[in-house]
Amino acid sequence: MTPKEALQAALAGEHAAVYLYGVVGGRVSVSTQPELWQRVRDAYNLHRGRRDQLVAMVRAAGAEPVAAEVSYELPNEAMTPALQEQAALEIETRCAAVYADMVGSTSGANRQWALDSFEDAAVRLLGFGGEPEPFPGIGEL
Amino acid sequence: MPTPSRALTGVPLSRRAVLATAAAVAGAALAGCTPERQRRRGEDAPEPVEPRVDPDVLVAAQALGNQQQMLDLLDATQQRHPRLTRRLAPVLAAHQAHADLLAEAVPADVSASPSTSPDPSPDGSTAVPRRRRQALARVVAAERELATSTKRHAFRAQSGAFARLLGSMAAAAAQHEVVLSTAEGRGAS
Repeated sequence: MTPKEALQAALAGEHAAVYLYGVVGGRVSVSTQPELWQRVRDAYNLHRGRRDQLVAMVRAAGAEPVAAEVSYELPNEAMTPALQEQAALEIETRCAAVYADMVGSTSGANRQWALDSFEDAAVRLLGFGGEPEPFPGIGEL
Repeated sequence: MPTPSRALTGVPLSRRAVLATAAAVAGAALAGCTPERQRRRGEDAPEPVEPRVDPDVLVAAQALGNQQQMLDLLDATQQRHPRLTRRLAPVLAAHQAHADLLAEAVPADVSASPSTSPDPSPDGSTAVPRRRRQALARVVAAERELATSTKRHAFRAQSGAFARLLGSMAAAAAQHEVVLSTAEGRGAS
């Protein structure tokens, strides 16, 4: 993967995360699940910010940023708090993997940005019921 | 000097790929001094040549030193506070896995020297606070430091596959920091 391709892959991942958090967030009840609602809302805002930063980073690299898909398939129907949490966990797990790849395919400031985003996803997924792993983001060795 | 394992960049990292990275990094260390030797050949009194070690081997050696420091602290903490043994066991296992992988990238003649020095303690040993809560807080702080230093190592790594691996180790340390802080209040007085 070239550095440009890595940036585009990360942007594609963030387009998906923003869409999915938007849908999941719409299904979480703020009155009965205020904490989950807040965590999903924080994640949504964070991923929107990352998406916008990646758009700028892709442009700075001299490429046209990839567009979002019309829609993305939810990890599950997200109709109960347990499923909503599980969906959020799935979104962060995918982001961690995308950022692990970005670390490996970039250098300098873009790699530093990927390292920080990778760490954030690995920690954020703990808030959605995830467990620490010896090698987050890169799966089984 | 060949850049090891560029070709692995972006490929899902299998254990084999990691070992290949480790071998490539170690191999580059041995090849590193060749141009220097050739350039010096023919001089009247060739000076002893300091073998040039591949920069990624130095990164691996420092990262390994930091992991070993963490393992020492976890060992000492478990010994002083046996009731923390179970909580720290998975954390210790993860750092052992990190150290094992890094050790494969560091040839025997390169010393694993940590890039950070542990807090000095009066008796010169790894000081573990007497109170369990403080002992745990010390481990949490050490995990934060390790996450930060490992990200610095990932930033410096020339091999993309190696950077990705170090990034994952940094993320693991950050996860430990969080799970051990949330557990801090529970039964750790």
